[in-house]
Amino acid sequence: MTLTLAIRNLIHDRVRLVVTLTGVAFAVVLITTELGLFLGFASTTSALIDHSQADIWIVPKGTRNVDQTPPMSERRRYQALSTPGVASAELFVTEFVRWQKPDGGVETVLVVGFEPDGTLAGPWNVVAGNIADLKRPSTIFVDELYADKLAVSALGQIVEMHGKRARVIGLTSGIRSFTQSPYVFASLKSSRDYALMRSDQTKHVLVKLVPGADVATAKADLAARLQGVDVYTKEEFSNRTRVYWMFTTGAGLALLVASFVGLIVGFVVVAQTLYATTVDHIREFGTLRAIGAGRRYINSVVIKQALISAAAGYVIGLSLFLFGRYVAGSAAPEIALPWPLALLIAALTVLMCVGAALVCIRKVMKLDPAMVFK
Amino acid sequence: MTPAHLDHPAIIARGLTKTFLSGEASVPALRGVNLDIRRGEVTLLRGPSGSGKTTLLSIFGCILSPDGGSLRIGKRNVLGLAEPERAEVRLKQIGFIFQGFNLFPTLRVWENVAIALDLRGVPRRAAKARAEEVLARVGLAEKCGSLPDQLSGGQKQRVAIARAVVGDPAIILADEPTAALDWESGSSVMDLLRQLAIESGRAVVIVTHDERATSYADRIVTMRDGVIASDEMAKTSVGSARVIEGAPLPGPSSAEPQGGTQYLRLAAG
Repeated sequence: MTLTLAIRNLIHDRVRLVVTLTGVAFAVVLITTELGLFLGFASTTSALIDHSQADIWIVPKGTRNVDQTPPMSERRRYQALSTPGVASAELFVTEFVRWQKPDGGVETVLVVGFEPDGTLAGPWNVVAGNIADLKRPSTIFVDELYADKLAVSALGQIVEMHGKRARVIGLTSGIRSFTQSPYVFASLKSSRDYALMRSDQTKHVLVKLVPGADVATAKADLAARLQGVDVYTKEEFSNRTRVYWMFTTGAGLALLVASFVGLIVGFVVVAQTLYATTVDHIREFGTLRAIGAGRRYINSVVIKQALISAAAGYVIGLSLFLFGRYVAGSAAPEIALPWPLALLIAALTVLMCVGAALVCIRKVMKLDPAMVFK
Repeated sequence: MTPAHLDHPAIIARGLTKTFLSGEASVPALRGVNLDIRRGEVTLLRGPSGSGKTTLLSIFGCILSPDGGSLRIGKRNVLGLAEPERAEVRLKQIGFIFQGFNLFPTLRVWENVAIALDLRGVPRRAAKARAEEVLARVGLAEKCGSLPDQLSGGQKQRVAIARAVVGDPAIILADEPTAALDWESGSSVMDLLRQLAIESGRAVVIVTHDERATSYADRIVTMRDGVIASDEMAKTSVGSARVIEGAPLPGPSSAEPQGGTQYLRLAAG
């Protein structure tokens, strides 16, 4: 009967119920959006690494992310290839360069140079053009998300980077850049030109191990053999890049703080309305205590009120979030909602509501049962 | 010859004291109360406001702890019990009836009664059946599905009585049960309470200012300034309730037009 009492208490005052559910739903939308943005941004920062087929990344010593890397000699590739367990090694370049728009404006782009004949890196989600065509000099792929920003109106268009001409011969879809400098894919040779790098330089060496090779052993061998570099597994370098962009820059912290604020706002709204509902029914709780209800019974009523509010608010909030994301479409930043995050937010919502309920329980348990005779 | 279980008092109070603090002042509410409450009797607690009768009722109900003295509910010494144990005593041994009915406005009539069984862990279906049975006995069979707001004051108090007795407690404590009722409803409620004492050998303690209630009492305890000023068998009562079975009861004052002889009966629907 505790469930019946909880439901009836909640729907007894419908205006208050609407306020409670609005509070929970608002918190759910806010937390989901902020955490979704956090995850979306985090996966965006390491997308180049995560989409590579490399087992190990060799980078100049002190490198903190995939985007900002000093050059190193391409001899590292040959040193890597001579290490036991290494099947192949490819060069990979990333460099911020100036993009000259036809109308005179300037943008900064991140040129991503890879070996078109290789298998370890390159653009993904290709919607127009052929990756092999990037072997032709001065050709590039851009993402259609940034076509307007870069003033690219058609394939075949000639653009300028660092004063050097490039022809857009392909498009990718949905490859976002965390830094807001769009990725521009080019061959290793072309990218060196745009990045003003020498032809014997690279930024990273991507290593593929032979099937069955132990990654940790190979990593240790490479680290021992190569001087002046850091050697990371793919996952390590991905995490390192994510941590750099999400925490060193403060961007991630801002999103997490916003999520926390959402949680607090939701908690306050739910606590206030649940508290008001409890106070409204305080005489009934007093009666329950007087006629012998134990702590568990009272807790059960109040916590079930909170759980019902949490469940209903979560469904409403998540529906609003999904609708909003659908309406925003591809124009909005990537907001990830993997099922573990959905579960986490459900747990946070329950925690928030039950936490709010504890405030009410405290009030009820401090109640003097003798009030029933007053 | 009375049944053996009626011989042992339901409540034995000895030297009960209770003092409340009001600011820096101490206000003694009970100053050494000795009282036995017997089963099968309707005991009326009377006295002016502030005489300590509601405090005594609260202590009998294990809602309030006395500062001193001893108190046995049934055969159990309840002094010094922790709140969970006192709640258990309230749940299993005592039924409460309040002046303001204290029904749950969002629950249906049968749910208001069944909640007392739910607290004892009785399954919902069995609780509903038992609640409906008791409601029928108090004349509310037709109102099981109603909400309290749809009932008259007298009907609400009958629901409260049904809730108080549904768990078959040995003791019924009623605080001004007729104060919010008109004469007819009040009489009906008092009838029921008296019947509870007679039929099941319960101890019924009623705190009231209502003079008419004396007609239904077996015993009248008058309090003044925290002590028992008088303790006497009711003159208007037809002897001890435990020896009355289906006999006519004297009604309220014959001056009342609605008065006349009240008969012990199950309340009609």
